[in-house]
Amino acid sequence: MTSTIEARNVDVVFSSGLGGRVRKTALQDLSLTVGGESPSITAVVGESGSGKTTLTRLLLGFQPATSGEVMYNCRAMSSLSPNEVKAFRRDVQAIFQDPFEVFNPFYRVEHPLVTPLRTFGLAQSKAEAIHLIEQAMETVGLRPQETIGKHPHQLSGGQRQRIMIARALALRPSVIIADEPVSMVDASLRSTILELLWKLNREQGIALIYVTHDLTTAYQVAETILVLYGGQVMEIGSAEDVIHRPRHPYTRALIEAVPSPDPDIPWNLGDGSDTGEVSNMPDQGCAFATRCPHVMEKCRAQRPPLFDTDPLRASACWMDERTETTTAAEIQRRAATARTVAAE
Amino acid sequence: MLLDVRNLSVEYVTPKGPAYAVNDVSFSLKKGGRLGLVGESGSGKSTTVLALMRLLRGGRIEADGIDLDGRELTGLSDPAYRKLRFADMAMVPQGAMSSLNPVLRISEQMGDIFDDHGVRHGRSERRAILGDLLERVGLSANVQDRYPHELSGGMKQRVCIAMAIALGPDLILADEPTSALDVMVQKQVLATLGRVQRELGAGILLIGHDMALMAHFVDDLGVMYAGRLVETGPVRRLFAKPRHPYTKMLIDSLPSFERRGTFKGIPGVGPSLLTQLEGCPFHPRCPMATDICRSKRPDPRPVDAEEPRHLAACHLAEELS
Repeated sequence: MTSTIEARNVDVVFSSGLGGRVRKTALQDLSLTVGGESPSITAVVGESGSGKTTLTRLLLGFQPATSGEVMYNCRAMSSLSPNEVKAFRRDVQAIFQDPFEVFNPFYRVEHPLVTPLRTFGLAQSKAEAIHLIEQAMETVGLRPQETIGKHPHQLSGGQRQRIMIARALALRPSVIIADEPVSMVDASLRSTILELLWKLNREQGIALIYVTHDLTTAYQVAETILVLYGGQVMEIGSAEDVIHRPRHPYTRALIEAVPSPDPDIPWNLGDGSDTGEVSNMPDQGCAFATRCPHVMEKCRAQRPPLFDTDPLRASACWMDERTETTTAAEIQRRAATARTVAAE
Repeated sequence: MLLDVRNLSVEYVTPKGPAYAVNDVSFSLKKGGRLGLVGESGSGKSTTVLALMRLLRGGRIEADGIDLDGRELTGLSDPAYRKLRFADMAMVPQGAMSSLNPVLRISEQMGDIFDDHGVRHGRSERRAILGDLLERVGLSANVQDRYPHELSGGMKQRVCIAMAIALGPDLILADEPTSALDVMVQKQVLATLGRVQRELGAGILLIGHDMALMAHFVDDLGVMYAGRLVETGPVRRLFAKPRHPYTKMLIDSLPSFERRGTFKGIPGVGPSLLTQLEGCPFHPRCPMATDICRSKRPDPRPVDAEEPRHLAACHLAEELS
């Protein structure tokens, strides 16, 4: 049993301007779980401005919820004691997008690994810390003797990103939140790093949230894909359902925007006349209504809840209207149960 | 031929000795054609484009010839080159976000192109011309009154495309024009670039790292590794029958909606540009490498009986299945 982070009906609203009169909703009514009985990989897919980063910060405890609650092992995150927060900081690790910015150029690359090991008391001496670091580096496919003692500028982006994964691993977390971990890594190395994340889940039982804008890599690693747009969950479901049988018009548009690696499968490029972008987010109704080809009167007036459309999938679109509604967290629970049954 | 580059090399002087960023790169592009160059970071693809534009800082450019539409560019003076930019060849830069001047309105930065090339317009005429250019790239004409920070990333990239086509160049050099954009915006911007290029009848050299995107946009593709072109040819031939192990591995590493949980990365890292590796530059990472690969550098040669333009720099090209 690993730890669980659960977001329950979370809204995150940023206020600015005089007396906070300008309000921007970054996340709306979001429920999501990470970890638990059957740790898996959940991909959160969205474009810039979709709320991906806010979601990452929320799950890492850096961003308080405006309403709703984030639970860590069934305790409200806002009520954790300083010691519990420290335990949370070790148990839940993050991997960020930019492997260039996360290093302090004045320190050797092992510095960001030694420091947390000492802080969390996982190593009593420097020698012990180095031993743990060497183990972690070997797990991520780096040769410790060629890596330790170097400065960040002496390593490639792919190597630095692997060091960051090694740092996360060395703390023996049960949950890793990876925010665009491969978008700044060369295509030839992406696969290697994704494979590493996949193995962490399969071999060490670490639960992962993989935040990305790239549907193909999401499909490659994740059991469950959650599609986020304008702070709202558009669709959530098993990777197979979402990619091969998408329901939501936004998911379909995203899939169509991905070029196939086979030049013979046509990619309808068009002439670039559709210039819609995320910029005009409506205040009410469905966030996608301004760009949706199937938009109806109702879509602009009322936000669709997540309709319970399939056993392992839900869609927030009025075209999929059902009597039953559900949450992303519930879909994840069902997927976990299905996995357990399949394993037996 | 619109562009014919023969044995282009770029060398940087560094405290640790010369860095060989581009080595003996040769390629050509026909009028109205689309050529792509792919490679990982440090492979020399951006340096190649900057060398063609003569916009490199500090690099030493050597070439047996750079022929643009019958004009030899290697011996051209800097003032003549300045006249050439935008008028004959224009660049769409990587990261439009940082290439527009934040304190100038779009109209002022676009107007500079005309002013610098001695093209004079009356006030309302200039406004109409800029408006027309912006509309051609899918923006409204009054975007010219805005400042860059008021535009989204995709809009800024469109402004850069409008600037590139302002003087109707014969050649557009696009350096990863869409890599900083969201997937859907990326597709729209690329479609726009393709449309204006076709309307203009210009050739385009597109730099990128996304093989899948190249597969659908260019006619010919060149794969760069460690500053060298390791394989060139019609893009469909390259995808159907890659003749260099690096190209094959790049294609195999592409994620697709057909496979879950399988990963085919390319192990290892690219070589340092500070040393000229003996033999094939790819041999330390190549699963097929033999003794000859470690001792003798392969030169690009025809490898496809049915397609004479398909070249690969690999000793074992014929053995690749």
